[in-house]
Amino acid sequence: MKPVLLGLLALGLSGIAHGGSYLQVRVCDDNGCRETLPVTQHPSCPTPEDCPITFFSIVHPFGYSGVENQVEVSVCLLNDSLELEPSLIEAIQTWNDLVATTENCANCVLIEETPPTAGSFDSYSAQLHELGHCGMGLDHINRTWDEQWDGFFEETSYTRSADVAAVAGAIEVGTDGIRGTLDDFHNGIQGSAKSISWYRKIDNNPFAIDATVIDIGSFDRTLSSLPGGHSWPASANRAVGESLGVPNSQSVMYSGIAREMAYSGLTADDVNMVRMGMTGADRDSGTSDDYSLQVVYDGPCDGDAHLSTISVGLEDLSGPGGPGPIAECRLVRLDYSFSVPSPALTQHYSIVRALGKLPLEVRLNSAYPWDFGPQLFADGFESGDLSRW
Amino acid sequence: MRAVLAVATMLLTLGPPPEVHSPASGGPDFESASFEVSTDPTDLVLFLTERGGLGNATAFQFLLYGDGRLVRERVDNSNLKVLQSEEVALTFDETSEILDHAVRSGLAEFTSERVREVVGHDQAISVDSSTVVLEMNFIRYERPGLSERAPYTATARLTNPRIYARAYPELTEASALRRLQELVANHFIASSRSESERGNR
Repeated sequence: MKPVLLGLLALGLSGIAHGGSYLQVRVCDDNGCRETLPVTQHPSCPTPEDCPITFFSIVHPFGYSGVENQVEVSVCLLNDSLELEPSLIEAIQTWNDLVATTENCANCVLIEETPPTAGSFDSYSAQLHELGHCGMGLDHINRTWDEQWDGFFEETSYTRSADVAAVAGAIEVGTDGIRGTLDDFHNGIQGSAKSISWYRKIDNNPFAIDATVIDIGSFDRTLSSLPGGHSWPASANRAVGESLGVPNSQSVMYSGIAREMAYSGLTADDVNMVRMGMTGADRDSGTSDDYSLQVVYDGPCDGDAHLSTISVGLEDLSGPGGPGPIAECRLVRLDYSFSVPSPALTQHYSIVRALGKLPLEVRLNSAYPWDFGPQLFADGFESGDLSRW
Repeated sequence: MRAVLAVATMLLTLGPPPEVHSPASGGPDFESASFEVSTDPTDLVLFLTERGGLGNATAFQFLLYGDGRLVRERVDNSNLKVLQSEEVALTFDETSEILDHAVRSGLAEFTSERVREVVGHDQAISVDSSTVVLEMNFIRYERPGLSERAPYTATARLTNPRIYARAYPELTEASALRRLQELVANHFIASSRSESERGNR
């Protein structure tokens, strides 16, 4: 494998803009599926219940243990999936560049809207999304919700939150009728809902691009820092963007990708979540514990997938239950842990894996049609949308 | 409501039983479990589906009724609206094979606690994957070491059982769930094909 360095992130530079969440986990049991916190496997913790797990944790990439100033995430490509290489390299480059943009989502379709039934899926967009999970430790910006009252939580465009009971009226969409905006309110049976999405204190705008430094001084997840008149953190879905005067824009960590939909880069929200992690244990930018992050392309795995942090490839994920997801990030034999058993890091987790186990795996479902080409025009031109030309 | 007693040891048609966590391995004796299910045509005996997953617009859900009717519905994953519905009639043996497999492999008692026991936690080990949901309705269910439950509704959910099966082979229910999906789907396809052939004669 020949490592290829695709970019180097500047150390703790000023950030750009905000709203999103770090990897949480979904637990399914007799009561349905719900979001919950990662469980520590740190040896100093006898059982998860013994450890002070906080909702305000940050999940760092694999390789961060609390002391590094430079973290490297390596990616190899399965040898039978080399058609993914151009778009994979492009996706890696995008995460390395960490440039916030607007109008980054062509043919954007929300979960609540009807997706096209014809056309192909964009491999760059899918890999960008999955690398956001497996590589960056980010979770979806939006949350699941039991809309059908059947005990199963479906994806929605509401901002990600936790501990919202499946009862009528537990999530209110607000007067604007748009899911994910600043006037939503997540309640619960007894007001137990928790905000787990980070937002910019000054304006709660996940699309804003400016010179604001991203750290604990400017970013928060508690409702107490919301601007006056705001009831919940806004998230960067397309409809929220439209309401804020930023059309065709959406976080790549939104949990929906449709045929013919194509991202051309990151939003401020995506960038800021990674930058927030890079502030290190003290969550303060510009201090000695900040770290930089490099994603390195190792080339074809050549049977040595375990040597890289993440292996990427195509695989048939369809089965008797249907066609399956278009892509997935597997944290096989992975867990989260306190990076270092120090008080400062009890609010931090990093992606880890047991020694000798499989690497993180990103798989795109070969049962679906894919567009493998790099996006020359990510504004809809390639799919026939000439409205912006 | 008429009922049929299905003793797990008398209807095995799958050859050797699947390797499950068994008394030999210190686990519950699912092989000796016995159960009754309704034979009423309106009673849902088994429900099996796979929901969610990034960009997964549609999914199949299978509904097995007491009289052996197996309904396959294609649903919109975002709102669960039924887009297409087809129905076949399974034989008693086919129905028993499905239920036997589920019971013998421990799926009637599969909970997140069992995942925690094997994996160390009950979190999903993959993101953006779909979740398999199994529900079974028994008139009566019991096994050695477990007092009779009557009636008893069992619900099992597991995200990405294929990967659990690969990463944690000792979580035998993961591969059993996958096998159950294949079994139900294959019976549906085979019955559908034979009904179609009969119709063409």
